[in-house]
Amino acid sequence: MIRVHGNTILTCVIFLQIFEIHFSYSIRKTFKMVLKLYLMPASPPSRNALMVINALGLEHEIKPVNVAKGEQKQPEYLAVNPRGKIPALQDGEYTIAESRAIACYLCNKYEKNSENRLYPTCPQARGVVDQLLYASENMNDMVIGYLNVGGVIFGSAVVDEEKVTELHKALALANTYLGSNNYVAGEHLTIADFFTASPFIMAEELHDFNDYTNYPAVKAWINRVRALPYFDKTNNEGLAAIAKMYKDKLAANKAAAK
Amino acid sequence: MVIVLYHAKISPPSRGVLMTIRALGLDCEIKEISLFTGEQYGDDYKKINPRSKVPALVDEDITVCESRAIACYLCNKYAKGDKASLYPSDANERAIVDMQLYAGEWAAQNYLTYLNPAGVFRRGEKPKYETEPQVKDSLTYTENLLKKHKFIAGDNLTIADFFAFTDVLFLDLLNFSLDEFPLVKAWRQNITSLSYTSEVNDEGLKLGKDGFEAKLNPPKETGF
Repeated sequence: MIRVHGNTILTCVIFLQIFEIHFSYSIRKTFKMVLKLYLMPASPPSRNALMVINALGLEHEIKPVNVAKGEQKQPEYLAVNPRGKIPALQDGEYTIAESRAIACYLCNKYEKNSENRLYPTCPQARGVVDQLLYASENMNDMVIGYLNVGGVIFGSAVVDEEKVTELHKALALANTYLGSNNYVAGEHLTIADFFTASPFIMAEELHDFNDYTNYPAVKAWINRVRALPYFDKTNNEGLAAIAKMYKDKLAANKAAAK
Repeated sequence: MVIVLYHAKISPPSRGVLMTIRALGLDCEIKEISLFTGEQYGDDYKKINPRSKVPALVDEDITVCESRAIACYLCNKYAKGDKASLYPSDANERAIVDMQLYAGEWAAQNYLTYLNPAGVFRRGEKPKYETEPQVKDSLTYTENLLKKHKFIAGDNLTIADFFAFTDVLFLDLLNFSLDEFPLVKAWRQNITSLSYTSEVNDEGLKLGKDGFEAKLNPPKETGF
């Protein structure tokens, strides 16, 4: 007959429980569903999605997609996003594309604040953010149209400076939306700020745009966005890369045009 | 105070909002803005929407612009019970709807570029027939979505269907055939059979079709 001392049994039980807790934690960590963001660092929509991830402090894995090699058109990426567009987010078995939809999803799923939310839950406040998310696409087109990013980098285009009026129209809209607030959707930061500020930041970095004479409030707001603690780590490398590509090619295109 | 919709019956996104309003069973006052006379560029309308775009919605002290944002707002505020599935509150399901609302703007742009309504109505231009491949790209994307689900964003009707529908419907201005896209055709028929679809869309579409016919195939003068 085997006799086991009571305290020994207790010790074994406690040891096994600790082991089980540690073991299951290890298993969970090994197979933890980490957010995967497929992105192109040079591209504003990619960086805007990453801003939201960093703003929420979410663990994530970056999966760069090499657009120069056409990776976005390969079957492997098309399985992630059939439209072949970047960014795309994988969260476990779910895949979401469209940078703004990704931003909204991340907040809907993971934002814990009840006040000063990046994506408010009250219908009125959310309506203000949503309309800016949609309007900012058009504002982005105005600015990127002036910069002619695609035409310069992939073609022989130079900047038509007469089109700076488009950028000024976008600035005027941003100014109207800001009103007397510190942020574009009201008194606190929201995801609308990331998407609305990004075209102007592109103009600053790619074309050294700095004429905010008529729009000091817009300039102050852009600086507020740039000063966010996660702005640099999200954007600096990608912005520097696309700025260099753009400036070098613009100079080459200008020289060739002479 | 009742909801006020600033609306242009010819405009697909405006009709997408009105379909949402009807689906939610909301009372609404419609104020028609004349795109043909450029009323949207006037100072009065600029106060409502600084972008001079239609539609816009005024709900007591809040104004919401951008058609898809308006639809989301209306659902967030008013969709209850069985209407809640029009814009589901579950984060994963909602993400699919949001994704298709944003992706749908790409399709809408392809269709508009092809039809060229501003050019046809205002500048004596023709539609940009050479961009037909981009129209087919968007229709193929939609066809592929419908291979997996009955509706654009899943197995239930959502606001994503309303906007995709009014955008595809606009291709009727040139009688664009959907024969190559049988699932899109069937889905379109499905949405057409909703009780409010005809009331929201028929008049505006007729306005567009008659206008296109008049501009593109004007009656020839005969003389002796």
